[in-house]
Amino acid sequence: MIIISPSIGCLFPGFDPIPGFWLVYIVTRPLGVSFGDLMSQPAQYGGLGLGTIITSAIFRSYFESCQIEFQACASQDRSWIAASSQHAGADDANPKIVTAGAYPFSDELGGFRVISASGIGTRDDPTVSVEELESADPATLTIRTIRPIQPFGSPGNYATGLLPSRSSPSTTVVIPGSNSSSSCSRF
Amino acid sequence: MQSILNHLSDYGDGLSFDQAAREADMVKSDSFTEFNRQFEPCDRLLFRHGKVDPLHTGSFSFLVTDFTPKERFYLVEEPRIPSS
Repeated sequence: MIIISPSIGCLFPGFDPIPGFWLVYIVTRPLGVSFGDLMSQPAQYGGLGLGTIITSAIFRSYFESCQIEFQACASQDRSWIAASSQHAGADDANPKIVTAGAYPFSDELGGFRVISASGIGTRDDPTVSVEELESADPATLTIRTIRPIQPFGSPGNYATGLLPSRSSPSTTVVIPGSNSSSSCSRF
Repeated sequence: MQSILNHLSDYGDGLSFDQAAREADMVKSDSFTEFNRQFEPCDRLLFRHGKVDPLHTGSFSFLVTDFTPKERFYLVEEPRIPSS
């Protein structure tokens, strides 16, 4: 229960990231030691008998493969964004991508235009996307996660899973009757 | 909200408009006075009792929570033309 408490805590927006980090850092160590002992200790003591060298090699290989995979994903995202951004704003047929904090916003699905984005994604500085709707048809904003994912990381530098947002759509066409007070907007 | 394009985000996919805390003050608009938040059958915010005139801008604030988290998700903005 103590070990999973940080996972539960991250569900609450007010959970302070600093004690959260130390909680994760401290309470998960016994879990890591338990797995290490399970793999390295001889079978007569209930372990798998792999020894400390092989156990360390397995863990090191695992962590290095995670790091390589993460860097490959990050590189792929950067390439995709760079390729898309070359056309940003140059042609209405090409998507425009604007980044606020850890999240790029894109109008790649069409039907509207993303004008700008700002903010880092905190309550005091929410991400703000400004869009122009070209009609009353539904507009789908595409949001990506390009920064490393860390629930207790600083917003803007990491994707934390919490995204205080403000969307500011504006109409660029006159829709007959749309100045009635009975209109609704839905997300 | 959609975690998979053209598939509505439901309660169990980790993506929502703050389904864990459900703080009411995180959702607001300068153009609409009321909102309705749903988590089932899909994650949805419906703003009511207001308007955004043609060639004007409205502001909609909300908290998106994504505990999976996902590489990509979608926010569908659906203006409604008034019926009268």
